[in-house]
Amino acid sequence: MEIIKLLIPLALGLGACFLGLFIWATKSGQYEDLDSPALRILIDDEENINNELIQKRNSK
Amino acid sequence: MNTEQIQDIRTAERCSHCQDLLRVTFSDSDGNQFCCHGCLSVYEILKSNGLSRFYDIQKQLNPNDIIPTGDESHKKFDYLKDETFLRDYITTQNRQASMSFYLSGIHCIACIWLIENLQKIEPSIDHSRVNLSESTVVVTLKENQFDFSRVAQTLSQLGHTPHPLRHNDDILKLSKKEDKSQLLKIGIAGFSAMNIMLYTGSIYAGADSSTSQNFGFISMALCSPVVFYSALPFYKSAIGAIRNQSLNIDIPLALAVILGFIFSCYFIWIGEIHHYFDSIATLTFLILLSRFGLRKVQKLTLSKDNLTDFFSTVTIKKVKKISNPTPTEIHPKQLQVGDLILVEPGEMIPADGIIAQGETLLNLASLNGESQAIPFRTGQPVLMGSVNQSNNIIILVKSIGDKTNIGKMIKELSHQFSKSSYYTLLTNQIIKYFVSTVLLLSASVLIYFSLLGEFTIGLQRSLALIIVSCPCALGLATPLTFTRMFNLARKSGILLRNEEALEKVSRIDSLFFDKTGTLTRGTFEVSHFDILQEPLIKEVSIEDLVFSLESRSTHPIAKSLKNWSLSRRENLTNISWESWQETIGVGPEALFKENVYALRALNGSTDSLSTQIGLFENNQKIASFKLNDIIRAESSEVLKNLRATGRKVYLSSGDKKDQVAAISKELGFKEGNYRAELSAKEKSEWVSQHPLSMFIGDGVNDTLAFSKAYSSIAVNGSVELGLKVADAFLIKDSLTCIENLFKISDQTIKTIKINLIISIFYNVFGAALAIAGIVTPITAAILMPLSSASVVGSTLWFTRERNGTNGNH
Repeated sequence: MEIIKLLIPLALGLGACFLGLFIWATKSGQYEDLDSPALRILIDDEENINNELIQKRNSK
Repeated sequence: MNTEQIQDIRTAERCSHCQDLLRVTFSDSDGNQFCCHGCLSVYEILKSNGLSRFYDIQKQLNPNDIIPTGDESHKKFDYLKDETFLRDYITTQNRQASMSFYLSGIHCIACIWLIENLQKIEPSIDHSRVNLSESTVVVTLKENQFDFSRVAQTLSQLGHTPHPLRHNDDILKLSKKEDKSQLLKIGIAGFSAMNIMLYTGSIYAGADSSTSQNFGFISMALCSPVVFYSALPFYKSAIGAIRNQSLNIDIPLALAVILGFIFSCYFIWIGEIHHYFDSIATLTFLILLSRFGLRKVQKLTLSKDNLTDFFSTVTIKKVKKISNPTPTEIHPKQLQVGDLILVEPGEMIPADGIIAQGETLLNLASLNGESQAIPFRTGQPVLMGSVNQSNNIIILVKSIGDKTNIGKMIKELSHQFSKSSYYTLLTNQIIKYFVSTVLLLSASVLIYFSLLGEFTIGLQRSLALIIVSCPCALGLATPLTFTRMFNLARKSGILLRNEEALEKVSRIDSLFFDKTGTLTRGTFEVSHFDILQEPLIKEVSIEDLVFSLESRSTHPIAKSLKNWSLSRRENLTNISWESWQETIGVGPEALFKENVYALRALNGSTDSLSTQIGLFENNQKIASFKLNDIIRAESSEVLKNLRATGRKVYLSSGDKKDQVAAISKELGFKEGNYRAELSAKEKSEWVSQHPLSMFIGDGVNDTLAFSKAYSSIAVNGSVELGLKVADAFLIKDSLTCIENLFKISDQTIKTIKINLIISIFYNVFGAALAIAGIVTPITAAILMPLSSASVVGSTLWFTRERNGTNGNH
């Protein structure tokens, strides 16, 4: 059971780390807009689309 | 004679921009078809700036979203150049100015993409960033550029009317701060609850006593931020209630948290291994979470208290002198008493005042519901909300905002609506009885056992009683039910003002519909036309004549005649008249190459549902047009279904008798169930004869009837104003939403009732166990999450999305 003396502070420390991250994320305003980032990622960059088109043409 | 009929509405062709079904067609040079000029112009802006990908993104990702139609009014937004105005609105960093706008009509990914690529249309923009949750965009200009008027013009042309936001708006800031602090409280409570469970779990699993005690101390440490920080809102609200000498749900919550914590600490101190730390943390976490959810949903309906915000879509044209009517556009917030403002035809008067110059026809529909325009002359007082229909007038402003006639009316109405309704009162009553019973019971348990000389047992049992009978169902399930139902309503196209609005709907037994704009589309369309004779001048066509005659008029009939001409011919010539004048109440008349052309209403219309207009050449009729206000495709079906639910349906209209009779016949209103030629006051009197009535009408125009009805729905107009005057607002332009609203409301009431029953049953059971001494911390730890789970489960089950709420049974 000696190992518990190491594990508990470790577990609490990890938990506290994530809590700290959460507090930081909240304070820096990352929860203010939950909708647009989720959609924004679906838009392809125009350069990528052009590259794909060029690749397709080349392969033909 | 050459008679043609416009194509049937139900052809499958759709507008190339907004994907709406085509009724009237406009074509561009590539043969793409559009439903209106607004859509055509947006399409052209996008195409000429290489932004046609908008349509690919839109189709690919969400084909059902509504795309805003372009605005044709060509506002200039001069005030966005004004330095004194900009001071409060822009922030500068590295010589780059940024400004936030609230935008109407951004729902989808294609809109985000388009607005974030705005710099391709307007080169002075450096970049822009959309926040979809708040419907706002922050636009940053390139270095040393400060002219935001062009940005606003571009946004407006794309159909997103921009409302500038002050960068230090206190209300907005405060609400953001509140959101953050609540989120932090929830996060901390969640963290503590989950970690405490780990240690408590091993205690219940039978850890030895020294380990258990150490775990107890760790749990105590983890629980203290919950008690001293996360649970603060409970204490605040409990103290508030006690100060007002009333009882609320937060009193037992606060007691449970504080007493539970104190006694758990005491138990740990004396070496007793069981404690309530996990129950306290879990309870706080769950209740905070459900309240936060409700707050978020309610915020979506955007409540702004400042009346001038409603009219910020209106751009006010200020003039310096009557003799010098060159207007500068100002923001409604800049308007002051004593200013002179220019109101052009088609615009709404933005303040109460006196006509300083000019005479015109004003439509007072929003004030008294009469659709007939009334002539006004210099020196006569005019009211905010009247719509100018014929000539330019200059108005001397006498009162603005809340002080105007309509402002006072809306303010009064907003107060009226804060009255509580049946279910809220019932819930509050139950909470009061419940809280006082629990407090009394635990006090008597404590006294009883102390009299027997068993003070510790008494203390334990009364504490167990308070903790176990914490009203989870009321604290957790009711907000959750509303959160789910608000979302469901929003999905099916309805925005609700508040919880009461949803509760009220299920009690409605009679519905009053307005005609124009509610049961009908509210826009005139040319359904028939006869061309009797080609014009004498060979180089112009009938279409050219109609378009040019009406080109300066903003009357709805003029608009539909213009649309007709545009849909008939691609390249219209706008005739430069030698003279042009519009006689109030008659129509436009103009001179071209010694011929007089005029458009006038024809008397003796054979069909009462329509208006007939004639085109005259030197007083001889050369063409005639029949315009119809088309009944919404879904009206008849919706009315039929509403009647089938046993509710009474009425039609109340301010229009002419024969018109209303004809439409009533078509929609199945029996004699006595419809009334015509009603003034706004008569409408409201009729409605108030029915105690459980709902008025479904046209936004602000029916404010008076809304105020007298038990419940109300606004179909048209701006969301903010609609929700200020009515209980609900339809965001989808379809009446089927109303049917759904009834189903959703019934479902809500049912769920709340079931949850009340579950929670009463649970609490009686729990209280009995606690008094009998069976509830130890371990049973509390099992019972509490179980009760929460049961109400949450029943809520989720009964509020699930059914097929019925989206269509037919």
